[in-house]
Amino acid sequence: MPTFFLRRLLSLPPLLLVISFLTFLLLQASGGDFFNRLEEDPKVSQDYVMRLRASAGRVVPVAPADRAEDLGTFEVRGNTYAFDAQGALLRDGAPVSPATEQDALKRFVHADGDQYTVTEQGNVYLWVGRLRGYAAWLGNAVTGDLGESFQYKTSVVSVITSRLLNTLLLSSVALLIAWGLAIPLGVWSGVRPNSVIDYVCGATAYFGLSIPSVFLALLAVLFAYYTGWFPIGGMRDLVRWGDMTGSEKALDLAHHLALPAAVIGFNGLAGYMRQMRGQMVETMSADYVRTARAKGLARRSVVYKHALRNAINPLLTLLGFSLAGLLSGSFLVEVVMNWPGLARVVVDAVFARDEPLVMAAVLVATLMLVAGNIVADILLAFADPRIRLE
Amino acid sequence: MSAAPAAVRPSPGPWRVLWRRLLHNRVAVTGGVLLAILYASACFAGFLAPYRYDEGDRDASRAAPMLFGGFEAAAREIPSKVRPGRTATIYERRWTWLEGGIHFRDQSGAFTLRPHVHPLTEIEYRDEWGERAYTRAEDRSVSLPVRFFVESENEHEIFSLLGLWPVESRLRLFGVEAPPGTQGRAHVFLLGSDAQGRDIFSRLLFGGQISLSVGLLGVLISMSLGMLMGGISGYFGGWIDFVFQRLVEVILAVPALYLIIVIGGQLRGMKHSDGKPFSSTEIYLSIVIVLAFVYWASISRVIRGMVLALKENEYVVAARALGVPTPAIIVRHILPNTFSFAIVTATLTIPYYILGEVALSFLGLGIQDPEASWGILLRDAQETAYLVEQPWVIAPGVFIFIAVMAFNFLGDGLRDAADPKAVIHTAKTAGDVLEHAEPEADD
Amino acid sequence: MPSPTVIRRAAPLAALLALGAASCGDDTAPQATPPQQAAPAADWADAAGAAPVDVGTPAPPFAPLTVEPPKVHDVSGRYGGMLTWAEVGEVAAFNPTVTNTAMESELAGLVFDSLVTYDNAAWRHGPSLAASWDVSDDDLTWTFHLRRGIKWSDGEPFTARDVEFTFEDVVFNDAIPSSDKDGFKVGDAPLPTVDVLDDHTVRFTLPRVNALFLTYVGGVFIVPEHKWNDAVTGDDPAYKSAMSATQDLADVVGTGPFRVIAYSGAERVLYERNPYAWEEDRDGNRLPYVDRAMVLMYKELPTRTTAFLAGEFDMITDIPAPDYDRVKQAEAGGAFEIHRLGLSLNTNWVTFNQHDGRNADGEPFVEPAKLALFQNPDFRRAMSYAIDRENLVKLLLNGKGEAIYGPTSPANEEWYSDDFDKTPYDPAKARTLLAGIGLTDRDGDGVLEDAEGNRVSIELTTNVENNTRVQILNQLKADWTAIGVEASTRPLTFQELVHELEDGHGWEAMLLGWGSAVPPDPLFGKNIHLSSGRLHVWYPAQAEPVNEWERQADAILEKMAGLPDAADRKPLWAQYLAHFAGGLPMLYLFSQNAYAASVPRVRNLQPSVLRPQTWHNIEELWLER
Repeated sequence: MPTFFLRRLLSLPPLLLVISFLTFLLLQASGGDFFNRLEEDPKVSQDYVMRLRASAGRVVPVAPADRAEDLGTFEVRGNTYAFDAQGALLRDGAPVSPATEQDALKRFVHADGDQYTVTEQGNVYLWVGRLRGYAAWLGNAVTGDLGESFQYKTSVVSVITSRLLNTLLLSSVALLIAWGLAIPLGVWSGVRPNSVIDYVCGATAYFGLSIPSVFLALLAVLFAYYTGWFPIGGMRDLVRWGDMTGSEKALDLAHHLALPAAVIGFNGLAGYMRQMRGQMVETMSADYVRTARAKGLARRSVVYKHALRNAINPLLTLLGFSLAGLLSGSFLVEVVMNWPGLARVVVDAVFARDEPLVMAAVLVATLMLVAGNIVADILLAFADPRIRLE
Repeated sequence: MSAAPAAVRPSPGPWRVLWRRLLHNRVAVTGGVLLAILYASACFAGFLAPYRYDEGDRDASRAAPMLFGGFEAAAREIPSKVRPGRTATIYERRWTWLEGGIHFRDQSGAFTLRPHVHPLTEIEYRDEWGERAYTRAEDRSVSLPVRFFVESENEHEIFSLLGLWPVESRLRLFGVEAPPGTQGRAHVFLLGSDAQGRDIFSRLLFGGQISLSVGLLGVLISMSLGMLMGGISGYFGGWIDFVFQRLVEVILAVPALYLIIVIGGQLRGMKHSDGKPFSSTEIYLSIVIVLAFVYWASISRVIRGMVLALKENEYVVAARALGVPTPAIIVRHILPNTFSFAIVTATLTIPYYILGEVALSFLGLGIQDPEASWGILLRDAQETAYLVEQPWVIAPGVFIFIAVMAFNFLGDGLRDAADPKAVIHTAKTAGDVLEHAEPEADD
Repeated sequence: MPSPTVIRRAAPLAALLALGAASCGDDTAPQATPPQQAAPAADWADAAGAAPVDVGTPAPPFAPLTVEPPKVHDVSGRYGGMLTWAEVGEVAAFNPTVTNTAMESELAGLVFDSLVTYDNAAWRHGPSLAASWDVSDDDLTWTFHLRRGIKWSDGEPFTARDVEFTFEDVVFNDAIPSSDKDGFKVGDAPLPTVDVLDDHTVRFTLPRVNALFLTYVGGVFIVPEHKWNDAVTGDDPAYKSAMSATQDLADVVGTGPFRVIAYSGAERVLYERNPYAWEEDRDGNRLPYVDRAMVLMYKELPTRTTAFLAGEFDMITDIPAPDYDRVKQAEAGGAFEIHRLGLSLNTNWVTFNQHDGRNADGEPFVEPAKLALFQNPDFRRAMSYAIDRENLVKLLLNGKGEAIYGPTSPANEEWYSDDFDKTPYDPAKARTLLAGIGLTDRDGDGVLEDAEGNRVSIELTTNVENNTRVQILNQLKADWTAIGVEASTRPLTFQELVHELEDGHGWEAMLLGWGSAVPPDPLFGKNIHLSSGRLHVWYPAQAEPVNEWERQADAILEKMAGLPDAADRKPLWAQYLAHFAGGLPMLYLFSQNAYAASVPRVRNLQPSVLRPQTWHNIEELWLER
């Protein structure tokens, strides 16, 4: 077991390395970046946007003294440009204002393959290539610095942490609901296969397995709107939150949690219930149970002392997998019901091209999944002594 | 190789057995029939739908679903807020269940077997504050017959199978003719219309072409890829196996939904090398490929395991001893043994592709308006304001639900039918695939 | 914190202290202060009988302060309570100089003041930190006379040095990316110089006449020198990233009515009365009336509207016109009141790419055959005639808006002129115009071709996040298809769209909108209308005007820029509007009606169509119990 654990842990860094690299490449696959948005604002100058890009590491400023050496004499759109020793722009050897050369020099590919920008005010920036960009990101990441979110202007870790906790809160309550209902219902219908209860539970299971969570969430929104019993979205009463006492806060949170957690829980419930029922049916027909029944033991004691204990073991693995799915299970429900969790942040970040944030979110989700799988394997080993992890 | 067929196990026998068992499973048959109806209606969307998916009537936006009833407009006088002492006439609408909409009374009010609809009317007025407003309701004074096998103005595709073998005609299953005075008002909107006056029912049928085929195409690609990669990996082992398995691990380690959204986000801005953006067909194909790419890994992993076991089987060892070339062994002896697993798994995983497309389009990263898919249709329901006023915009959700359930019915039936004893091993692994896919691919 | 009763008793003492300070020769207030204005504290101490209403007790209380001359608002009200409203978007920083969004700069007004302010209700400039100002006859020398006795929220006195610091060291600092700076640059002339004449007098010397000088001065929030003096030096001054939401909120020191006291994630900002807030009501009570203000932040408009209807906050601005009917239904319950503000100043438009440049590979940005059309005013006019704007208003806004045909919304009464050629819906005219430039359906397929047989097709783009715009695209597509122009749509994300606009230039037709500035002066749009402007969307940043039409347009606008008196500029703007309609580079589509709403307990509201519609006079607002 320790070896197994160690091996899984050791395989993690290369895995994260590959995933982060692929994600990084992927995120730069199509043109444009987060800072384009600012350029639309009539009040923001091009130099300001380039400076922001520089502080985000997307471009590197070229100091006036280095320009002549770094760029040499170069040709763009039929004109020959160069820089003098002071870093001023020359066209065909004569000084020229960079503002009038924007058509050519706003962003161009230098003969050496690098892309440069000469701004209206005459500053020169080198665009950072993908490999160099990734190396820089990785260099910071290994020290625990995952960068700053472009949108939130604060470290992505702080953005993600609070949202992640919200998501985990929602999904774990949903998980509790799902398991809390799945086990008794599964046992109930498993003990009486082909009874009315079994059929009702079976139908519910099909229903729950097949109903898309988006659809169910939309129905829940309609329900909340028409009855007025639940808030339509969000996680807490923002206005009154500051003035609430601890117990009021808990109550308010529970009120907001109820619907989304029920929706996610119902979606998961079906699978677990079916599994539980299957195990129960199998164990109830096992020899030792039949023997116990034949010996005249009370049905109740047979079910709870013998059958249930054995039937529940395989479900432990499922529990591990459901831990792995904590982040994704709630994704669309969070979006529909405005839960301030990771899902919204990721979707917004993908739209806004907030690359550091997307990177970090993917890595966190990956870590959660892998950790969940490891837990599942360990639980499996506990549940079934025949399986040895190596 | 003439000796080979005799050695191959899947003779016609087991397939026929499977088929017979399946037919005895009522639930599975129900699923199959539902799917047949859904797919047929998607293929014949052009014929069944009274309108094209992008054909909107601006005067008929946000009409109510005629299948269930209709809106009636009533005038009311209320005190004006801007001109003291005067009144303003406002028009309010009232929903009546099963009255109005599709009904069976003709113009004279007599009962008839032919369904009729009322033309839609739009009343423009100023409210008590002087703000311009519109009320859209039915003109109950007129009843228009719904005609069957009507001819439309232009030729259109009435049958389509992924764009192959299109059949063009002017025929439509049903429609309503506009007699003089009702032009632009005569519509049959079974499930209502959207903000642009497009028939939701028609868009649903056309949307099925995309949403349902995404599943089939996607599963076809990922199954082929999964079986190929898994087969090669399992049969050859060694460094090929090592490389393939690491690749599989990377894909499996990222939650499917996150992967889909990140790739989808990039796809949107993708362009051809000449700067032209992707066409709608290309976006569609990209979505299929994205989904297939995300889901092939788990299939390949199971196939690999099965191949590892199968390659030690006597008949494979024998074939190898006889000098049968490796590709032939894989194709003739090993892969056929994974088919029953493949079919069961394919059926049970198609819903994930359907839901994957829904998730992408719902979030605005997939199919784009005016194209129709169930996901983009459901996107209309994302705005709470819109949803609570036009609750019928969640109709696509019902269709998604039915499709997913039907696939589950059929898949479960297939699993039970696929030789419960001998295939218990595969059934369990198929289950494992699902269990693994389930939490990550919730939608 | 002392309880209200304690304050009431302590108040006369505070008043005495304030008087004492003034008479002890505090050199910032050398003049004798009239007793009735000396200490508002004295007023509410004996207010019980004298004042017309019970003004209540402010909590937190005001610190003693004597401002001369006082800025008096002709209102009365009651102290207390928390006013809440919601914005769409996020506040990431409270730095009033380096703001990223219009919302951030609006909210900066809660904490900071500028020399002059703009009165949204009256549509004119008024005094703020400066009590008055003089301007020389040549419009080049402006002298501002500051009020005496104003203090920063940390208790330090406000002086002319702070003004000089704000302009010279912060706004005009090249290393600090401030958008305020651009307004003070006229052509290639240097920036104005700022001189402190004495502690309460500042003089600006302009190298060239700047028509909007006062407006731009009003846009600069004054920041305290004593706080940031060390943070503005060097190439990378710390001031740039100062006052971000995650830093110490005590650093956000201003002279405005409020202080920031709490910031929670991207959800809400809590403000509390600045004890040194200095404006007064007509009875000499210090303002603001409300003790606290909370701004909630929502990601999307519809969610915010829904939350308002659920009673989650007091005021809402910019209710989307299509939401009006829903909001009105809820209004019937009496829980809130809608403010119908008339037509908004915001506009929506579609334009064609006229850029004749080439990309890095030497390919033209726009196919030559299409470019020829896009550059042809008759083609653009035909396309404009083909758009059924009334129908757009009906369909997308449910009638809550008006079709517009030029860059100025008719709601902008100060600047709108009706004297230009409009292009109301007329598909027949559109066809005739197109036939006139040689576009006819030569092969009978319903699509027009030019003489070379090129089909007339246009790709329309807009930003996908905005559902309304995507719907407009579909309508335009339908309208244009109807006259035989093949149209396809391609929504992009905003990022991609701006990338296309700025660098890509590969788009064909684009749909977007402009928000309106405050004050709604068209000169603010020079970035859009001047041929060299970055937002001259149809052909941005022209080194030289590319044609005669552009040259004439530039001439009119440049003439306007030299006229400080708005009355002198108006006929020129009318002339520009007519010139614009002649070339029709952009097809303006519609403006929607503006709506705001508030719960009845918010009093003294003076809703205005100008942003921020409801809380521009936040000092005056009070809450009924």
